[in-house]
Amino acid sequence: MAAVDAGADSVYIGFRSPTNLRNLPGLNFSLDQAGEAVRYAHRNGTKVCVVVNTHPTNQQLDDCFGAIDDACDIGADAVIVADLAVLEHARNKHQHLEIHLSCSAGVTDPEAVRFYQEEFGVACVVLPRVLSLQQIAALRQQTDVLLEVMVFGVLCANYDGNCCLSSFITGTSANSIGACSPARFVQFEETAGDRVVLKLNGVVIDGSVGPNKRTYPMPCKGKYGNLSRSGRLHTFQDPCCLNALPLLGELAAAGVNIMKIEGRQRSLAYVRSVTNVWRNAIDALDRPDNVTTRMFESMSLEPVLEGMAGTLGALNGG
Amino acid sequence: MKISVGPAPSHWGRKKIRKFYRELAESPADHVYVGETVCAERSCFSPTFLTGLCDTLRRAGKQVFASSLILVKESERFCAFRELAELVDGIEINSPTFLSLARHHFAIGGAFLHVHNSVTANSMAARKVNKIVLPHELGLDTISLIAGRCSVPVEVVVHGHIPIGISAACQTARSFRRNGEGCGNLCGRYPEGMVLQAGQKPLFRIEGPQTLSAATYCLVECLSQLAEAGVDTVRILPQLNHTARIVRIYRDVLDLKTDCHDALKELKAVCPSGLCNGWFLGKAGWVYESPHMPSRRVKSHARSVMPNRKPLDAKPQRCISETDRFALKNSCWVHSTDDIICEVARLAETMNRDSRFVKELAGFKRTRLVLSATDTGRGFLILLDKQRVTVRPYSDGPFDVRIRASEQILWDVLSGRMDADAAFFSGKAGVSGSLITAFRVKNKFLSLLQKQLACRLAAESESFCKSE
Repeated sequence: MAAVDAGADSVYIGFRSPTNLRNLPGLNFSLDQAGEAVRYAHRNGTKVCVVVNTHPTNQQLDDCFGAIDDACDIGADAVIVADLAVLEHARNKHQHLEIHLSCSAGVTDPEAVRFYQEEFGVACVVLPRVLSLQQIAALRQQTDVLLEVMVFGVLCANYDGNCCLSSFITGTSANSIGACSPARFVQFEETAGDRVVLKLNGVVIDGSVGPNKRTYPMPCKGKYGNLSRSGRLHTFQDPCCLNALPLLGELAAAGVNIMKIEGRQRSLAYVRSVTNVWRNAIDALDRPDNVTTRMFESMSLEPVLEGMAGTLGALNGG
Repeated sequence: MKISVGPAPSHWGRKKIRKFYRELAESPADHVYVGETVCAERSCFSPTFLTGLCDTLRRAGKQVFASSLILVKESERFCAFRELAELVDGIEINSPTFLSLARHHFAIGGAFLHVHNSVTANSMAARKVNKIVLPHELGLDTISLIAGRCSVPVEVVVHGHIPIGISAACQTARSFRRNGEGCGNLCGRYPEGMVLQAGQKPLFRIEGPQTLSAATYCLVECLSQLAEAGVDTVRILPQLNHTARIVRIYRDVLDLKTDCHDALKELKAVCPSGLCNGWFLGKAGWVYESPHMPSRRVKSHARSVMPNRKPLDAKPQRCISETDRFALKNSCWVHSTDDIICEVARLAETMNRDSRFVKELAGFKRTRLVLSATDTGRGFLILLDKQRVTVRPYSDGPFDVRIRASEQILWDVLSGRMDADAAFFSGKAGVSGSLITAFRVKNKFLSLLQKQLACRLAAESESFCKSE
């Protein structure tokens, strides 16, 4: 609701089951809630995409197929899918359903886009967070599919769909269960001087965290001793948040069709303020003073950024 | 089972790579993968260099496959790989970018194509992928299900530092506070990667943009379970030294020349960073545990030494699992013909109920396959007609194909332990009737039967372990 009210053109939701990559306790929609959400969004002229983007095992296939059928029943405008089996089900059973390709399918170049367009008629491709602005612009030149780019929210360290860091530590596959670092494996161990050790399934993710710096222990945000660099701590990624607002003009010029904001797993206030800022920034793109406006808007997002620092991620080639 | 060796990281440099493949040519590996999968910038696999390697390996009787990049960021990589694909026996596709090449080349779907279920596997197969390498994080249950229901052979990685993730940024460069561009090939200085420690525990190994396990993934104790699951090929990932020796150790275990416990000792000596096998056991990847071998199973073997002759409709007795057969190393025990009939009848019943199998049987019209045991003179008839399989005892009468062999060989062929062609060409099994029909039966029906059997054995073994 917050996202719809704040001016999103489309919103994405997931069902409360291991059918999407944010299968975390307390998140997501029951079927009734999802139906209600679709009605609310449609009354306000907003599209709804249902996410069914895990790579299911045989036992989970029926759940995923069911989620696609349910998405159709509640009148969702599109489904976001990654796995070939689920794609095939969506295409064969629901000929008119719009299919978007999830970033966890890992499509990064025109040949792969062509494959999914020809085989499954996908209408939109969500790009993994591994491409630079130049690479996105080059891809745009070679395909007519709608391109969706993640512009704000959590930044994974690894190529989407190919990260098994959490699975290696906990034994539960984030790719098929849909939860990275499941809460039941998380331990905070108090040590001297108000400091804590962050552990995941008994594995030390961060050896010493100050009282005000406790974060959820994600393997990619951990600190590891690098034995080849005389014990220097290695992090896969700094604890920062993707914020591509400074590049909005460039992204639009590169031909990106949809800017995606990570909204699930977030508070209402967060969703409202972030969506609002992006809505205003996109609407202001045609105005001559848009650069100044964007700088100003970017500032206003800082309090909600994870770790209080924004990054452009792979978009600037880093 | 066949043994393959995965692609060697190309930052080893051409000299080390040439030496590596020369040694590998002497090893009993069947398939060898070459190419750069991780970082396009550092690749040393030019067409000329690849041709040289191919020559060395092909002369040694190996099939050579080119492995593609996992993460493709620039569209020109497609053309470069297509060029390499012309030089080899087949390609390994690690990114959806290259899936369209499967129409023109013998193609293997790599472990990075996210095949977590059999429907996806068959969907790949329908798109001309000839073999599928399963993702590393899958456990035995999932592997069995996919291998049992997939229409193309399945390959599983059984040894090496196992890939855990690949990033857009180079992690080796990052540890020097540099970014990937102009990295000066820093990863070349660490041919075995840099080990990252979590607390006091070596956990990861960073190698360019890729993250691997610090310990060596090792399934040498689980090979019988993989065979039972119907896995066609096991893959060993290269390490800088001793890879050829590791291949030899695995070959010896598969050929029952070495006990897997002795093999484990030998492997520990050449893999100093410790072992892990958790993913296979459904546990955290970094764990190593010896797979459970229930001792009561041996009793069930003892019971089966004198099999009861039972009529077809009687409930078949528990048949000995592949695990036991493997562990007992070519024991004198064989299935009696009646046991085999019971087993095949039961499988036929399951197949008749399964629409996927029924569809596959559509091509057979009143095909009569007779299997006769030469040592007991007993035989049975498998009738494939109207998309149904019927099994009944056989003494005399017309047939389209008749296979004659000892009870042991018959069972080995039916259960997939012995290749039907090998049994025929080595003279262990005689075939009379129409050879064309024999081939069709082998390619279509026998493979379905074997997969069904592998599935059931896996399920049975699981419920057996639970009941223990």
